[in-house]
Amino acid sequence: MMLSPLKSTLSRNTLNAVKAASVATRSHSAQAKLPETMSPEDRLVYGEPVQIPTTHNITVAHLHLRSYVPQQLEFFADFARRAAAALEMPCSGVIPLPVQTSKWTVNKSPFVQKKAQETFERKTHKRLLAIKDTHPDVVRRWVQFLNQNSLAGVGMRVTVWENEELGVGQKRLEKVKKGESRNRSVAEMMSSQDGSDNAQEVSKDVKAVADQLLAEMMKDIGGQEEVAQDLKAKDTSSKKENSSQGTKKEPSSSKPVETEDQPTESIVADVVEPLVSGAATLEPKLSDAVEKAVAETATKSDK
Amino acid sequence: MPRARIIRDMKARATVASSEVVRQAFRYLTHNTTLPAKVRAQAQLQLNAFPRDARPTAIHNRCLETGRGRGVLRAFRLCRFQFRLKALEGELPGVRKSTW
Repeated sequence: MMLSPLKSTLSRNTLNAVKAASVATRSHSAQAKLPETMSPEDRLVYGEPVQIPTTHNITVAHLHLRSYVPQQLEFFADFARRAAAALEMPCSGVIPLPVQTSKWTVNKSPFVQKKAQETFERKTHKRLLAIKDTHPDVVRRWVQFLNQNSLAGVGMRVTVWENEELGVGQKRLEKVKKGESRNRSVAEMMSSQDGSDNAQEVSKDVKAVADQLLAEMMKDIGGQEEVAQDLKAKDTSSKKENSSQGTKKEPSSSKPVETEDQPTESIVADVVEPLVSGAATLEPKLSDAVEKAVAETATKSDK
Repeated sequence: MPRARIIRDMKARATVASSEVVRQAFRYLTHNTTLPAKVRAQAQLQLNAFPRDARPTAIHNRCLETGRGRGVLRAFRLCRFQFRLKALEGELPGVRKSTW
């Protein structure tokens, strides 16, 4: 039976003794075990990191560290904690988050042999440090320091929460309405209030190009007035005659009202005219033989 | 000189990148039910006129080492055999043989 790496057959006392021995070799051994002759500066480095007490317990920042190598990660997390203590920031202890394991099972051979496979894994270890009750400038300086002294193979993500005065939402809304907002997405939302209900969410560039193309298409098909009408109003009540450009005789209004009696040369008109006039549906036209067969089967099923 | 399929995929990626905005605009016009049917139909025809490798689905991830089109792992951009070779060499950071 395979032993799980998390559990052990050793007794608890033995385990504790082993842990104590290993802790003594690490840099951050317990304060009590340090020699009394040690200077305070050395204690800062080799002793447990100083725990600054929190005043209001308001979380200001999260430092999220990730690495494939847990030893590097622990070392850097400890370093970050000591740096926070040096800046007198109340910092939590190092919080280990669950390890994420990615596994890949691949064929050993470059060709077939499915039964011979090999699995690989990659474990991402994570640590978290929560900073509380500090000025955001101090947090920024701390982050700058960590970036300057970062460790290879350790990834950092810093989330910072800042506090604003009451009424900040109202002030920002006014700013947007005046058009002074630097937040582009909000400004866009405010400016473009119109837009068809059925339109998908499209990016600004795509919409711009689409408007251009639409204008060109409407020039070929109908007048410019109709473009404006169709885009602004949902229902076009008026039927206008359009100025034909070129030799092609274009169909009249965009709203399907009357059947077309003038034959046109373009393929588009052949396809689109019947659709517009309501003479044809989008279903394909079956050949006579197929239609006969369909009818026969229908009559048979009725019986 | 890379293989023909690799070149094809590279070409597809370049075409998609260059024509994405215009193609999306035509798609928007085709799907927009508030526009007149004429416009939608014309937009559809124009869409059909785009080259075949302008479709985003024409892009297919290939192994960076060998150009293999199948069995490619996204995390490493390698086909399964190349992944195994590199993993055993230790060239992939953090990847180990899994045992439990």
